This record gives sequence, C-alpha cells and structure tokens, in this order.
Amino acid sequence: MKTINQLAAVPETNDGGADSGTSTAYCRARWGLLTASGLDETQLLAGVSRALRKGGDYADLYLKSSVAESWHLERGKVTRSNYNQSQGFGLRLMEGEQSVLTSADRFDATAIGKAADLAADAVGHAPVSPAGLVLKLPKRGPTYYTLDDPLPSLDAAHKIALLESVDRACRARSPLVVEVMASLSISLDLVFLARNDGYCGGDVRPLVRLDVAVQVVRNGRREGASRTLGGRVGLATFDHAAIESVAALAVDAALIKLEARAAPAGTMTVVIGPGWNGVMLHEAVGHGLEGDFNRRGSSAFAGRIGQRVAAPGVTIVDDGTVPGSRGSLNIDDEGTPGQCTTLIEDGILVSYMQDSLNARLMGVANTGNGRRESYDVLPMPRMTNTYMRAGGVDPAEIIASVKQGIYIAHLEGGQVDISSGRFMFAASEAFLIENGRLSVPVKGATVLGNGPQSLKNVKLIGNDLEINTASGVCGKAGQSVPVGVGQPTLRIDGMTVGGTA
Amino acid sequence: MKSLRAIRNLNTMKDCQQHFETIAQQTLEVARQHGATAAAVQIEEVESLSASVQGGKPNERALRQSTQLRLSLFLGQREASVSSSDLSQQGVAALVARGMDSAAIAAEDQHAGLPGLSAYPTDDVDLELDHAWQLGLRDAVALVTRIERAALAVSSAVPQIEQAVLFSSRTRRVLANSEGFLRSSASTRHSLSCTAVAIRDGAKEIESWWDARRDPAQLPSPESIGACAGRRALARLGARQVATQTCPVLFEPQAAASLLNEFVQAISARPLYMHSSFLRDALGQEVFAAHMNISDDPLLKGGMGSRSYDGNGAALRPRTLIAGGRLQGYYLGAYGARRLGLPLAEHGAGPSNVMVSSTTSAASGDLEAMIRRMGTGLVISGLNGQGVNLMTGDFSRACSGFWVENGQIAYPVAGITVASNLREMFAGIDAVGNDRLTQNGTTTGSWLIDKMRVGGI
Repeated sequence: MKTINQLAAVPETNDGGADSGTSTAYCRARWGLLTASGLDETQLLAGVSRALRKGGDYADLYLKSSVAESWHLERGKVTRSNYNQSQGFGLRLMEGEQSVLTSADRFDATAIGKAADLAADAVGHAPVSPAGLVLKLPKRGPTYYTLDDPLPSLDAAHKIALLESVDRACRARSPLVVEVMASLSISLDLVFLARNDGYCGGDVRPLVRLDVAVQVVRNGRREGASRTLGGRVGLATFDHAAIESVAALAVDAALIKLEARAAPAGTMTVVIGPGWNGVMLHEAVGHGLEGDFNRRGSSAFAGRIGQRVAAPGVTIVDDGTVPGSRGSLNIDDEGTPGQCTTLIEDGILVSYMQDSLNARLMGVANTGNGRRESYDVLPMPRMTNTYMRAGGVDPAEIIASVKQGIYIAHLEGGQVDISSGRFMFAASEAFLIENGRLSVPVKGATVLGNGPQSLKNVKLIGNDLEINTASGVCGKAGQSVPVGVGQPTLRIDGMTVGGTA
Repeated sequence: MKSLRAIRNLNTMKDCQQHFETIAQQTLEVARQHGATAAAVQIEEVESLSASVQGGKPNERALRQSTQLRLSLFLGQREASVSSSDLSQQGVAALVARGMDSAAIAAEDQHAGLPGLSAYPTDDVDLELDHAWQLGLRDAVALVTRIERAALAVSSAVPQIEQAVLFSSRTRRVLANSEGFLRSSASTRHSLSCTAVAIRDGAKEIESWWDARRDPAQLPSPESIGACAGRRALARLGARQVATQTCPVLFEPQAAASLLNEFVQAISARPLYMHSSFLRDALGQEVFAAHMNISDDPLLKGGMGSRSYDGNGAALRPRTLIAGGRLQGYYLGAYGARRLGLPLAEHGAGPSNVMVSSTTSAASGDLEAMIRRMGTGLVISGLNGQGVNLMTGDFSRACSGFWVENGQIAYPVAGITVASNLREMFAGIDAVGNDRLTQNGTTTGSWLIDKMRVGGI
C-alpha cells in the first residue's frame, strides 16, 4: 500500500499494463484537486470524521473541478466562444435514510471544517470523539476512456478550422443548405472522493462533442436537422471522415423533412431505428428501474423483480463500461467501479440500478450507479449507458414484416411518468410503412407507450445494435448527467402516434 | 440553528456588495490593461437551503454556497465569454488573459458590443425582490413535514408522496461594464413543492403541485400545497385513453402557460435571427385571436420575473406583446435588436412577468363554466415530453387531463397526444377563462382552443 508521501511526489504512476488505468486517474485527480490546493488525504478524511462526530453512519467528501470551453460557428464564421472553470466540494452525511449536504466552492481545510460542523449540527446527537480513519487506496482497475486533457490537444486556430470544415462539408452536400450551425464543446472534470471507511478515489473525465445543425429551404419551405459526434474521447475523433459523415447525416435528414407530410394519429405498429433512438428505452424502462423510485414504491416496476416485464428475447443492460462513451464511469460518484448490470434478461426483470444508500436500504448489491451532476447536489441512482442487446433479425426484414405502420429514423428527447409507466418521445424524422416498404416521410409526432406494456409488444429485435456515445443528457430532479443510449432496430406493436392526420 | 450565512466569511450585505463591486471594477481594469476595447462583468453569489421529507422523516437537507464571475471581452467587433468561480486576483488575471486570446482569434461580428449609453436605466427602482428567510434546517423540515401530512390526508388512496421540498435561495449580483454601468441587486426565491402518488388496484399515478415567492410570508400554506398535489394525483386514478378524433381542447391555466411559453420562445432573439421561429416577420400580424392581449411587466414589485434591467444592463419597461391579437413586439435585447435591425427600446429582452388577458374572460367564467361551454371535448391538466417544432409551429405532445361530455367531466384521461400547429392553435383560442393562475411570473386563465387532433385508440 502506497503512503501519502509516495503518492504526493508524482502526478502519474505507470506500472505498465492496462489495469494501471485507475491508478493514473487517481494520481491525476489528486494532483489537480488536492496538491493544487495544498490538501492531502489525511485532511479530507479528518473532515469526514469531524462530520460524523454528532452521529450518522456514513459520510463522504466529494471534490470536483470542471474546465469547459466551446466554440460556435454560424454564417460561416466562428464568432462566439465560451470558457468556464469552476470547482467546489460537497460534504455528505447520512443517517438511515436521511442525507445532509453542505457545499462550498472554496477548497481549503477551513471551509471543509465549517462544512463538517454544519452537517454534524444538522444531525445533532450527543458528540463523540472523532474516529481516526485509515486511508484505503482503491484496487487498481480498468479504465474505459482516455485520461488525457482534450482542451490543450488542439490550439484555438485548429478548433476554428475544424468547425469551418464542417461548414464547408455541409454546404457541399446540397445547394439547398442555407444555414449551418456547428459547435465544438470540450471539457475536463476531475473528481476526488474521501469516505468514512477510509476509501479515497479519483477520476479524470474528459468529454467532447461536435454538434451540427443545418437548415435547408426549397420553394419557401424551411426545415432543419441536427446530428452530434463525440464521447469521452480525444479531439482526433473529429477527423475528415467523421466530419463528412456527420455533415451528410444532418443535411440528408433535413432534405427528407422538406418532403414530409402530416403524420397519422392513433395506435399502430412502430419500427424504431437503431442507435440514438435507444432514448426510447431510457424512458420506457430506464428511469422506472432506478433504485430510489423502487425503494419508495413509486415506480410502475416496484416489487416486480422476477416477473416478466418484456417479451422473450428482450435483454436490457445498464453498462458503465462502454469504451469512450459519455455515459461510462471508471468509478461512479461514490467510488464504486463502473460495471455492466443486466436489468431485464430475456424479458424478466432481474435488477434495479442502485447507489449506495438505496442498495443498503433494499439489501442488495450496489451496482455503481451513484451519480451527481456536481458537488452541490446529492448523488442518486442514475443511468450510465442503457441499451438493448442485439437480436437476430435483419433490419430490412423487420420493415418488410409491417403492413401498415411508421418507421422512426430519428427522435428528439423523451420523458416518462415513472408511476404509471407512460413514456413518450418526439419522433422528428419518420416514414410511413406501407405493405412492408418505407413510403413517404412524415412530420414529427409524439409517440407514446407504457413501459411494462410496450416492451411486451416487442415483436422483432434487429441484429444491428448501435450505441450512441455522443449526445445523451439525462435530467432527473433538476440534475443533468451525460448518458449513452442504444438499441438495435425494433418492431413494437400498439404504440400511440400523435400526428395531425 | 445556524443561518444561511454560516459558511461565508463576510457578515454584512453592505460589505459583500462593496467587495463584489470592487472586484468587478478591478476586473474591468485588468481587461483594459490586456487590450480589451470594451468589457462587461457580472458577479453572482447564490446561497441556498433545501429540505425534503418522505415517509415522515427528513430525507435530504442541503446548504449550498457558490460564487461565479462572468466576463465578456471585446476586441473591436471580436468577442469572447469566460467565467470562473475563482475571484482571486491571479484567477481573474488568468481568466482575462485566456479570454483575450480567444477574442483575438474569433471572427468579427458586426453586431457585437455593449448596449450603448442610451439603453441604461436612469432611475433606481426598488422592486422589493429581496426577502431573506431566517430559517434553519430544522424549521424547514417542520414545514415540509406539514406538506406531506396534508397530502396523505386527502385520501387513503394517496398512501405516499415521492417527496415534499422546501427550497430557499438568495442571489446577489453585481453587473458592471466599461460604458460606466455599475449596479448591484439582491433577490430571493422561496418555493414549496409536493409530488404525491395515488395507488388503487395496483395502478399508480403521480402528480405534483408547487409555488414560489420572493417573500416567504406570501407563500401559500404548506397544507394547501400538499393537499393540492394529493388531490391532483387522486384525480388521475383510472385514467384511460380516448379514441383518435378531432375535438375542442380546454387547457387548464398551468397547461396554457406551457403554450404561452412556446410563444415566448418563438418571439425570442436567437430563434428569430437564426430563422428557426415560425413568427419571424410576423410583427403587426394577427397571431392570436382578436380578443387576446398579452403584456409583460418587468417592474412589478415582488414579481417572480421582475428586474429593472436585462443581463447586459439595458433598461426594461412594461410593454404590450399582443394587442387585439396582433403582435406588437419581440424579446430581443441589444444584440438581437442590432441583428434584426429593430430598435432596442421597443424590443427589450424577456420574458419578465407575462400576463394574458382577454375580452372574453368576464363572460367565460371559471374552469367549470368553460367546461360547460365546451360541452364535449378534452380538458388538459398537463403536457408532457417535447414535440414542438418552433421553426414550423408544428405541435404534437403527450398530455393528461379529463374527457368532458355534456358540459361535465366524465373521467380522467392519459396516454394520448394532442397535435396541431401553433399558428392554428393561437388563432383558434375561442375564450380565456377568468380562473387566473400566476406561477413563476406567468399569469393566465384557461384557454379553450376550437380544435386539435387527439391521438389515442
């Protein structure tokens, strides 16, 4: 076991081998958060211990720093840029089901001490002497994304040139393109955590995204479409081929919309395309399987472990280990290593997603889903990358199997009512299916289903699983976290479509 | 019980204000030294307390404090924005240097720049927005416990809440720029909310109610918040779909406020100048039915949307957005006004406190009267999901509410969609009720829209 002094010296250890990954993450997070502020593990653990001196059975101290920049192109030029840095800590104290959080944006021993006292007073039992905590470093583990800082990897001129090449690629794709808006967003978060069991852990979380939105006009009719690339990867991912590809996807989608007619209204068979459209699953079962809703009994899936909630062949996982995905976690925000959890197996509900509090209260294993938007809010069970495993059917056959219905090529976001199980998503690019073929494009319409019901109506599962690592933003109780979504092409019968026709 | 100020080092508001004003002016000076031709800085400090209860016990309590400095730097017509939580001298110097590097490499934007001397307010009005609540965590927990009790008392079919939350925050801001603008302000926001779960025969429904005020003494009672959430959840039990059809739709005030928000987005600067609003070039046109008026008052004392100047310091004034159904103005601000070639004085930023009125309201009566008037159709209590294309006005959203027959509510409805186009919806508002609800700075009664396409069975 390394001592603090051995750790303090080097910003980066290299034992070689793939599984030194989390050691490197630990050391870089430590360097950026603790060393830079004159703190060490002993002081953090002392703060945690001090918070517990008037009672409580768990405490942790979470430090985070964020640096983010973005560049925006419109009318062919990059005229806007933003840069933000922030940092702070949150001290959390738990007693039974109760949590207390105190947070501040100054990283020093005094601020931590004051926060500890406030938290302790909130619990307020008879004082005990603070326990001495013994530092426990985490075991080495695998990492699922690069630990390199993306911000300095390209200079500003090259970032601007990248966006200008997106503009050129979009305009070259079609003369009908009248507007191109492209944004490059780059960030690096460092997190460090000290717990009352002596555990200390750290992570380095880079995130990049390239958002491309285009507008096309023909005969006075204007339509727009957008696509996104990115993940927890380096900027080298936005190479020439990637830029040509995202430009083509955005422009082609906008052009198709120029032809779109009114969508039908009513209940019908829906075929949903792969990849980003996995947002549908995120809403249909994702939130409903978060541990807090099920512990409190407010979810439509509460008390249903072991029951059939989906058709045979439907296997859905929440997987924090997808390489380079924005939803992946080397460790979650409570220090639990990222993992892949099977939620629904062959249609049977087998697990919820848990953080430490809900796992403890439900008497089940922690699944590493404890996440928080930042240091000033409490963690709760959140998704990582949620997707359905591939089935065996050719996607062309799935469309061919539908006499009358709708094919959804792309959807915007979605929402769910976790108690009733009703979920909805906005289909923005869709086609009528007539006699097993895609016919005309139709305008955007909201599509509704009911989680436990709709998944039982999954009739065909494609062999074309795609996972979107680039764009998902999940909101819950006012907190946003980045997520991945995915699915193969799916046929689901009996969904309600909200067209105007 | 320790007060909100326990974490901070400075103990008086006056000290704090001067401290931030000094930092703001120093920041402008550092910017000038680095070659900025203009600059604007905002420093904002937020302190908050929140408490929630579930199952009779406090479940989350939090005390937060954060400070942020935001800076816009101009090099002629080139601009960069930077922000940081580090207000130290070194932190600010590094931030300015970084921003100036970005500004130097940005392309010129002919519309960039500060608002101009004539834009700023000449007087200093107290909008009565700052009402600190001397409340500790224990008091907060006691209040939210009353919310839960009231929700559970509604019916045995409301056996639990998802949570009840009290949130109280105080924000201090200083805005200063190189045209000589320097103003400080403080404001508070206190809210109570409840999310209740109704359960019967294994079916669950969840519904919420909330309210927020500047002055905690003006908040509705915790009991009324809890009871309302409980009743709304209870009313959802047994919700079913209806047949796919075209019919009139009556939006309850909180749902009508959501439609009003689409209008606000469609007349906002960026969607307008990026050609992604269906109301581009609609000034002077009839956008709403002729009986409707919509006004905006930024100077309403204690209003949730009140402020005397926008984020760049430009003065805000009461104005009319819709008169007799016709569009009188946009929400632009300095940049948007320049970009669209319209006068800032007539198209200030917003929204602030938006109010819908109609010449039909007196005759329309309250929601029950509107329901009787509708005869047969759909009442919408809540809209869910996205589904609005602001560029074209196409509208398709999921909703929950009630089916009405013979002027009376027949049963609750959910799992359906309503679709149309915002142009048709706004023009097709037959009446606005006098059941006015004010939430978060928006005031409206219910809206009866002549027809929409319902997607159901």
